[in-house]
Amino acid sequence: MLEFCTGMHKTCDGMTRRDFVRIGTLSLLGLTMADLFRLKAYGQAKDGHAKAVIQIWLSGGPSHLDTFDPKPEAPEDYRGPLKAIETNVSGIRISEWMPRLAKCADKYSLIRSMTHISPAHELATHIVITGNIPSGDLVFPSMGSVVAWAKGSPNELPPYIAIPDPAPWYGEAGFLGAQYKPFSVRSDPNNPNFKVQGLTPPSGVTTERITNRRNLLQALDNLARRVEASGLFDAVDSFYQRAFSLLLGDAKKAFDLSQEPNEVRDRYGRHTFGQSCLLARRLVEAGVPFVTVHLGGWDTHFKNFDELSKRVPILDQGLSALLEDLAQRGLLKETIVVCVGEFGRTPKIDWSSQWQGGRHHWNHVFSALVAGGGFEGGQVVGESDEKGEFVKNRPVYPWDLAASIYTLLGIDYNQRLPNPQGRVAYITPHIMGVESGGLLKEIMPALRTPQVAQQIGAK
Amino acid sequence: MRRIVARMLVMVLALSWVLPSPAAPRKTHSVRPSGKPAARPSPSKSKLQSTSPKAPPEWTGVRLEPSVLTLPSRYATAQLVVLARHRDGRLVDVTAQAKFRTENPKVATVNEFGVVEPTGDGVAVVTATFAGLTARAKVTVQNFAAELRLSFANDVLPVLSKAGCNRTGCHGSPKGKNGFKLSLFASEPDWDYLALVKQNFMRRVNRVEPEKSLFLLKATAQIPHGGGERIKAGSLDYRLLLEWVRQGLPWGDEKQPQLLSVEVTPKEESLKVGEGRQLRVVARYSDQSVRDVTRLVHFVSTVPAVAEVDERGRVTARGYGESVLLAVYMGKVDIARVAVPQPLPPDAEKLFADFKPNNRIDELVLAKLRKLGIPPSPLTSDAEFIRRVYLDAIGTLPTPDEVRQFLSDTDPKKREKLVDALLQRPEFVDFWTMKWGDLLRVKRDFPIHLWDKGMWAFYRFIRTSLAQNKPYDQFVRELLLSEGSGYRDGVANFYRAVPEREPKTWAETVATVFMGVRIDCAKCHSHPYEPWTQNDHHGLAAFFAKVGVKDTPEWGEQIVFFRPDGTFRHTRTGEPVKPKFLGDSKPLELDGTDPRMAFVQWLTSPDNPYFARNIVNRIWFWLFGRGIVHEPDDFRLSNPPSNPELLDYLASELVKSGYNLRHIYRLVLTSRTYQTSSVANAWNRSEQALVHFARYPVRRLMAEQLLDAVSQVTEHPEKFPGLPLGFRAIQLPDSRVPSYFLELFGRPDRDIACECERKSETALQHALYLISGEQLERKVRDGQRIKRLLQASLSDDAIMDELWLAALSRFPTDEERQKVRAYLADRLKGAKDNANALREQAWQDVLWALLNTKEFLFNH
Repeated sequence: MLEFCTGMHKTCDGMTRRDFVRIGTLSLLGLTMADLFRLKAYGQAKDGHAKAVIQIWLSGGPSHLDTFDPKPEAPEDYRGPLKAIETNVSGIRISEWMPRLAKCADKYSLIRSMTHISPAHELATHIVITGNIPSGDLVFPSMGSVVAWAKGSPNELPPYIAIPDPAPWYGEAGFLGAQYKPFSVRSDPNNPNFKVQGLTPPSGVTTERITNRRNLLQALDNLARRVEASGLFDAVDSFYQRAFSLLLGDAKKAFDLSQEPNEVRDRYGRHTFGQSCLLARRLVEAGVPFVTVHLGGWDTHFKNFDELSKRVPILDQGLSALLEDLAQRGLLKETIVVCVGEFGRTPKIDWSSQWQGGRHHWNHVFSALVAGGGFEGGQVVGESDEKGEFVKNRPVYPWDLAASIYTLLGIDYNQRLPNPQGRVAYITPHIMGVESGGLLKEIMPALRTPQVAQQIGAK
Repeated sequence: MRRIVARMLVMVLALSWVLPSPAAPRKTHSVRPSGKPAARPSPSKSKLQSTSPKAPPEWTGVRLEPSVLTLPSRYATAQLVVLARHRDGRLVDVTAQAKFRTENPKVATVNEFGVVEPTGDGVAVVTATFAGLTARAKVTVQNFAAELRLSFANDVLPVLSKAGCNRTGCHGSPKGKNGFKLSLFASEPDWDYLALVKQNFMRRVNRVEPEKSLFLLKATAQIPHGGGERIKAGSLDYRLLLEWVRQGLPWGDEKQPQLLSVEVTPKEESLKVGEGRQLRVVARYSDQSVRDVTRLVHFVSTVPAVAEVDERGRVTARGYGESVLLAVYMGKVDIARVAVPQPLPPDAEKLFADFKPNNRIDELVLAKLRKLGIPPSPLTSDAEFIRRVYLDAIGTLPTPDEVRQFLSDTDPKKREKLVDALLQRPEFVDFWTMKWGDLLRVKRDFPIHLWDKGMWAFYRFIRTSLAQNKPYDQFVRELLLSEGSGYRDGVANFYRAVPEREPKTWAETVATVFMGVRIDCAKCHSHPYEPWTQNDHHGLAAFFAKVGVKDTPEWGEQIVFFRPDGTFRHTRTGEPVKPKFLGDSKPLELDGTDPRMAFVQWLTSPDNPYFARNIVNRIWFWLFGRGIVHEPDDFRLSNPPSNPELLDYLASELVKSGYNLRHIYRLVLTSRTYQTSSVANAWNRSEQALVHFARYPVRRLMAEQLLDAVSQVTEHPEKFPGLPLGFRAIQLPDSRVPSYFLELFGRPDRDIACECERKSETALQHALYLISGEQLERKVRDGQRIKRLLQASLSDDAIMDELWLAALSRFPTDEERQKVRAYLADRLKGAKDNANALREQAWQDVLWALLNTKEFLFNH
């Protein structure tokens, strides 16, 4: 059990670190084997309520006052020109530029009391997207990479896919290593010639030629016959096998948006974000456990409202379509949708000539949207103060949001992550005693079943 | 389980007397350099061989270690070890098979494992019987009746530690457990004392009714305890804890002896698979006293697949190779090495004989391989060698002409000549500038923030130093004593190239990069296996307390300067900390001089235990993909070198050569060990063979090597943004030059100074990229090599030669030629006027296939 900064891969009793962490933490919680089996039935890292996550990442940091936390009663230089509109859930109002989301507020819940310590993009992104504070030079894996590590993929498709690319800086695998990096689509799904690099033959190469090449490669690839590196080469072979079956098989059809009826594609919106959301739905349907849809452009220091007039309606259309589509297909109950950026923006508008109605970085309070996969809809968690400047009640830290999502996925967020230097790193920092608002139990009915709550160690 | 095994052994022993005698055991084992026998008969098996009535008895004597001992208090115990003398002279540990008995149970008892416990003052004789032979030990028990004052740190905490109370998963976790928190592995005895005795309204102890003390009830699971029963009620440990409560929970007095060290015996042992060995551990104290602490030691095996060790210190050999066993007691560690040689058939000897040492490296490697019975792989072919040494030394594939020339050279010294030539190539400087750029974190932006000018200036300093082959000690001295502008004095960026420009980060960086020591953990807590404490960490940081970094009016520019008033304050107490060398007990008293001077002098002195060893080990790691100490930046007592003599030899060579790094490269690259094939033989397939360098480990090309190789083989140079066409990946100044390829294949971000940041694993995305990436296809399709060869109207065979030499540094085999010819014919079947296009496509397919073979993707 001694394993601490040592870089040893096995514990003294021969268990791997992951085994240790899993079994170790359980037994230390005082659980018996019978408990352990019940816990398994609940789904420790295998089958929680949720099967997948679609993360809508709004990089740059969207203005919470102009989206999910309007303050119509605040002074004008705070509330701005946008009005708040009623949603289909009484008592919840959102920005007037989100009419479609207003019509489906019963499907999602809003967290209006997100908060953390950093007003800088990089650090803030790390905190929100990994659910961890970087410790010295320890760069944590993003949530998608953690899910890829914990759940793997059920078929040839990569377990963590980013459309069209991952969140900047830290949407990556951190110290977990390349195999948990996001698979980037790196191409615009709204483009009629949309094609995913690597998943389709490169231009000018037919499928038939790929097959020919594969046969030729098999004929020439004979190093393994001579050299003893079986574990290593077996892995390479299995990756090649998976890559070829992706390339030549049916799984990649998940990427083929042309199979969607035009009405559906129109409903999502004929823009990169809309079609990205649609692609995310198809991927989740195909079994991918974590998909990031990255929508940038929220760093609205300058002319915030002009900028938002281009962004918010796009978000409104794509996200509402995604929620409704998932619900219609019965996928929403097993798919978590989370929409958040690295922070919010200054509630007080900067009307100086330099910024002409800008809003700057604001980490003290901001909003997030969560839906599906075990999160109840039609609720608001937490509250910001009258001007949207600080948390009024019920702070939610990024690790609380992350831990709640992991819990719904059946991943124990107190687990240790494997670190190549043997450094101590947990999935979320709760066990280290950080300030915490706790899991989002207000909107997690599963936690209200005392038995389940106890089993997953929720506090 | 052990008892069952023991009983079975007894049955075998009994049975064996009536079995017919096989031939007498062969004495083929020569005496090794250490003077120890290579292997011994196991007590069970050799019994089978000793049944001939004419043969002398198999076991000629038996003795107990220690044979005279004193138990100075009622809580002292001692581990006995029974050694039996085999008739061929060897001593075998038969502790597990022997029967123990006490002749005076009123004074001392002994259990089946050979642990002696006192029961009253006086003298007792304890006996051990094995194979009809009996050995005696005289046990004197003193102070049994005396009320000796117990000490929390010396008596109580070891018991709690052994019971596992303060481990990471239990009360030693960062948050404690159930409100009760102990320091991890008893690193802070005073805190633990407070936690146990004072905290929680003294609820955990009960002076009035000591038996009702909460911590005792919990530990014995008399009331529900998350950790279950850790201590048996009524056991010696329990009685000790109870007595301590009865005594009024003493902390101990100021003059109580301090634990100085622990010592494990035996230090080195050679066992056969299945054989066992009982370890004994004694602790030495400041008052010269010595205690047997075997019962309270935590034992760990670094390679359990070779040798397991249980909580009693009983080692069992499980597989071939070598394992190091750690004995950890109250922050002190000692190690024992256990070798388990692989039995080899006589014909394996030829494999050792084939290994003809080129230099001292080979003699030392061979000695170890012989000791462990791991025969090395044969010498590489010339073709394998040239590819390997090009990639390892200069990060670059040889060209077809270079391969041809080397293969046809008949000079017996041609490999040495090639190594010498490579060490003078400009690519050598490129490649190792890149490596040092990783370690020293040459990076323009987050989280290092050298900015463009600083990044280029630092890059140039490193590059120039390597190009001049600057003595390594001088290179490090210049880095550590650097001052000046990050934009103008490249070397000063050493102090800027860290995420936080402050003494503790500098100390951690220096420890990692130049000493191979990871001291980061010690900033928060003492290391469970290491002597490093927070004081060591802070003492090291204090050397850098007088380094200042300040901004200048130029955007992003910073000056590194000497700040006479700089102090480093203890994170907990806030007191100024004096500089202290790592491992020294006393801090340094310095007048106003820059403490870095003293540090550099200490670091670069020839006797420094880390400095030379660290760099020669890194060079070894860079060339073999595996360090003699592995990971290369994790030097610690509990992670010892796989071949200490080899490491010492290389370090002494470095010092002797005047810190000439190229001398070490040359020694390693020209060694027979480096030129060993990666093809395994029947006896060196295991991981242990790689640990001891019996064959060359196969590794995927690193990102930069691979991209340059693909560009070179296809003749389609990569264009990096902001840099001229033809600039190669190994020449890039930092990790921020955008390249999807390099990122995908694991170029380190240069955020941390750990070798582990460079990733060399394989992943699905690599396969997808190599099979169908647009970038790769563009190189295959538009690269000049195929076009050039086709235009030259060469024969198919000649084209194949060129492609194979370019990609794999060898000629194609006949079988490969046939397959390619068949492929070409197939593709051109029914071709008409499109024959040329089809032929070009077919050759592109061949090139594509070559780039996707493991032989290309891996260095082997």
